Order: sequence, then structure tokens, then C-alpha cells
Amino acid sequence: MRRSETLYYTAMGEEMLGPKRFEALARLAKLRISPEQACKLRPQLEAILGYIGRIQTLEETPALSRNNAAPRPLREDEPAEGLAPEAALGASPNSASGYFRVPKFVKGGKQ
Amino acid sequence: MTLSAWSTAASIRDTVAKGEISCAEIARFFLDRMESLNPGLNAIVTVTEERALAAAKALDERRAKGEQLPPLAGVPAVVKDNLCAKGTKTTCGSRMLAGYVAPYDATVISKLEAAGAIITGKANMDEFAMGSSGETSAFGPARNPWNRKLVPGGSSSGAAAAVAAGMAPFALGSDTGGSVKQPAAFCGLAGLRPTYGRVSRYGLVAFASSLDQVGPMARTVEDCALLFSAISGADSRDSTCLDVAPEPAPRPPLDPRGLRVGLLAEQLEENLDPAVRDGVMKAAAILRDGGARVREISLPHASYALAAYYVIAPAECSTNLARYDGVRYGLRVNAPTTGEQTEATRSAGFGEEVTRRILTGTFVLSAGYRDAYYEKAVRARGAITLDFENAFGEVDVLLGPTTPGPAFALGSRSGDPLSMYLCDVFTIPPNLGGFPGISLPCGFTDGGLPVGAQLVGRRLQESLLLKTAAFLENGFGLTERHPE
Repeated sequence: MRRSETLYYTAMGEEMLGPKRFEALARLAKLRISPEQACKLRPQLEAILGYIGRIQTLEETPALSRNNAAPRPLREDEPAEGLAPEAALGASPNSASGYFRVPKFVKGGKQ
Repeated sequence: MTLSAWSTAASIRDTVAKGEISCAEIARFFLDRMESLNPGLNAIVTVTEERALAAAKALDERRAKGEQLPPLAGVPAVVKDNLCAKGTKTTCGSRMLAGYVAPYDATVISKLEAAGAIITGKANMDEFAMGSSGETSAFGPARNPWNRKLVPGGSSSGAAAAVAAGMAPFALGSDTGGSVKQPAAFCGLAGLRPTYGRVSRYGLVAFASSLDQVGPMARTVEDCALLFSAISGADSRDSTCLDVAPEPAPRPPLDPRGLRVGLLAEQLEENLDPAVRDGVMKAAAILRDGGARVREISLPHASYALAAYYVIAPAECSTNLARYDGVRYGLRVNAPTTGEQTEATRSAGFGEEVTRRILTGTFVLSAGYRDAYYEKAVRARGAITLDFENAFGEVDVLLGPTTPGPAFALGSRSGDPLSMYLCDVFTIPPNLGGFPGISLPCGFTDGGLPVGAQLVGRRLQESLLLKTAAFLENGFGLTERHPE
């Protein structure tokens, strides 16, 4: 089961955004939220979800269609000149030997 | 002409063209004004003095050699701090990018400087352009020059405050749900949100990619048109940029006889400040007196626009802002593993409003909710777009309020996100359809605060919008009124 599915299925039966579901949501968003922050954010998010939930009351008619949306043309996905590697690496908080440096994420590997 | 804080871009351009003043003198004048006013307004987060003086010197040298100068030579401009300018800090109003120095120029920055404009500062803004008051900036809120206890609007808060205070004749902002039009209304400016794809977004830090657009703000419609003309046009580096030629500044003035104007009557039934309602009705009367045909128009699905927007924009923001992981640019909070580092960095770097929107976006895209929220909102967006297209089968431009009321007090809404979101209730519907819109001053409250009217046009018809706005501006006669 994917993590996003976990978010939905493990929290069934709770209020719209109960504490467990809120924690799962924060994990999905890769955010670490303190209990104090959660106390403030969770009711605000409940209110926002309550408001935007009104979209579900919009009656289904032929006018509701993805096809009516404004055109958003995309160009062909072709290789083109981009930033020079040194310019791209120059903004990184940690780089070496032409690479971005990150903490190790393979067990036993080096940083 | 004597140079003053209220000199328009058009008048500065003409004075430079006649050789009556040097570009260096103009740059120095506006940099000094910025230095004296900014401590009280917090409109500018980075003064680009070195870049400005070097550009001015280069223009003066070109003139000394007898070269013809570009069309906006010597005109100072402020740009929102989500537009990359090479070698200059681009903070996006966020701790996440507080130390980020852009390695390249945004296309609009290149075009602006190629047109001879002199960039004097990067303007404060709501963090990652998420906000309607300027208060979500990590660098403190900008203040409204008409009353410093009030917000200037947002998210292009500093750009609007700087132009209203006479720090520059015009500025570049960006508009996703109303971030050019709403602060323009709060600060007594003209602010144009162009057609989606009309202006390149290469180098604009992404918020909601199906909605973001760069737009000009100025104290006169003519200056707005000059700036728009300088930045519009195709760009191969932005895949969504339309293959359309740059827009020439519109001339001659509008003859409103035969113009069909749709008055958005449903919006006037909302809980509006009387000054806003009176201003919009006066705008309708000015157009009618000029020979235009004004009739009421309904947009049946527009009441769902705010809800649709606050599903779609957070969904796109949660995706776009996933790139801030502490690896390639911006803040990094070191931690033992990559996962912990990502979480620690994002939690330290993002402010409260950005966090709220990322969480909202993650929720509406998550399994089990995607169909009910995101898919439904996208289809609602289609219905709202169709409403506008049907309206444009009957009229040429639409007229309504830009905001429900004037600027509000700093801190008065920051604890209530929903009431803040309602600031954009009128600017969002046309944005969802990619239609161009302009806000222009249409009056003042009894307390002396400016209010704005919004004109919306068919896609790529900015020229008609600007001409109509200029006609109204002339009818209102408000351009000589400035903050004390």
C-alpha cells in the first residue's frame, strides 16, 4: 500500500482531519510540525477544507469539463542549452567535485 | 520637465530622449528617495544600487556616443523579489531563499533592461507569492503609503507600495489569484494581469504553474501599457509562453461608441464597501456617457471560483515547492539522513501560510480525495471559463469591483486565513480562465483610501483593456492624487 493510500485508509471514521490524519498529511508533505503548531494549524486547515469542500456541491452538468479550460500549449520536449554545471552548483548549500552533496541514504555507504 | 517623485515613466522617457537630464541623475534621485522612504514602508528588500548606477552610466555613455537610446532609457523600475536577476538576491519573501543569489536573469528582467529601464530594487512580497496582504513575508510586512497602519495588499505588496510612494514610476509584480490587481486597488494604481502565456515566466519562481503570470503596476494606465509592451512576447525558454508578438503600447485613445460593456451585477450584490460600489457604477456611467452600451452580465459558476482556486493553487504549490529539499539551492538544515534533512529544512524554511497551502495541496491530491476535490475543481474551472467565453459572445469587456473593500489594518486578518482568501474573490474568476484583467482606481473612501474597478477582456485583448482603462482614468481624473 502506498503512503498516500495509508493516509486515507488508516484514518477512516475520524473527523475530517483528526490528529492522526494530520500527522500523516504532514509526513506526506515532508514537513515536521510541532504539537504547538499542529494545535493552531489543524483547525485552520479544517476550516479551509470545509470551505473548499463546497466544490462538491456543484451540480454535475455538461459545462463541468476539463475540455473547457484555457489552452496551455506546451512546446516539444527537446534538449536545449541550460545553466552551466558550475552555475547550477554555485547556489547549492553543499557541493563538491561537480556534484550536490547529500547525507548518505544507502546503508553502509559514504556521504 | 522637473524630475519629481510623481514623474511618470512616459515623462521621464521623453525628458531623457530630449537630453534634458542624464540617466545617472534619474537613478540617483530615485535611489535617494528609496533610501529615505523605505525604512517606514519596508517595500524593498534589496536595493540594487550598483546594478542601477552601472546601467545608467552605460546608457549615458551610449548617448554621448550619439547612439539612439532604447524606448524606456533611464526609467527606474522596481521588480518583485520572485523574479531572478543574475548576481542579485532573490528571496521570494522566504527564509528558504534568504541567501539565494540567482545565477541567471528572468526573461522579463532581460527585456526590461534591454528596453533601457533601470532596476533599482527588489520588492518585498508575501512568501512565495502566497498571501493577500504582504504579511506572510519573512522580512516583515510592507506598509501602505496611504496609511502606514494598513496593508498594501499582496502578494506584490512591496512593488505596489514602492510605486504608490513614488520610489519608482512602475514595477513588475506577479499575479496568480490577484497579486497584481488586488494590491494595485489597495494602493491607488493601475495593475495589469496579462493573458496567461502572454509574458514569459522564465526566471519567475513558480507557485501555481497553470495560473502564474507576470504583470505591470504603475500610477497611470499609460505607464502600465509601456511596461507591458516592454515585457510581452514569445519566449522559447517558457514552454507555456504563447507565440505572439510583443504588444505595442495602444494608440489612439478609445472611442467607446459601440463598445459593449458587461456589468458584473452579481458581484455588486456582494457585501461591498459603498465606495467600491459607487466607483464601479461611476465607471459604468463614464463609459455609457461616452457612447458605450452597458448591460448586466451573469457568470453562473463564478461563485465556485474561490473554492476551485483554493484547491487548484495549493495542489500546484505543494508540487512546485517539493523542490525545496535543501540540496540544490536555498536553506539546508543538516541532519543525519536525507529524509530527515528534507523535513528539517522545509520546516525551518517555510512560513505558516506556505505550510498551510502545502498541507492543503497535499490533502486534495491524496488518494481518496483527489476526485472529490482536485478533479472536481479542475472541471469547475472549465465551467467558469465557459461562463466567461459565453459572456464575451455578448460583450467586449466586463466591468466589476477588484476587491470587496479598501486596504485593511495590519494584523486584522492574519489569524483567519479564510477571511484573507476572500480578498481575492473577484480577481480569481478571470484568472482561472486565463483572461487578462486590469485594476484601475475608481474612487476613494471617506477615509481617503483608494478603491479599484476591474476590467476583464478576451484572451490577448490587452490593448482594448488598456484603452478602456485609459478612457476611464481620464473620466475619473484621480492620477494627480498621491499619498502624503
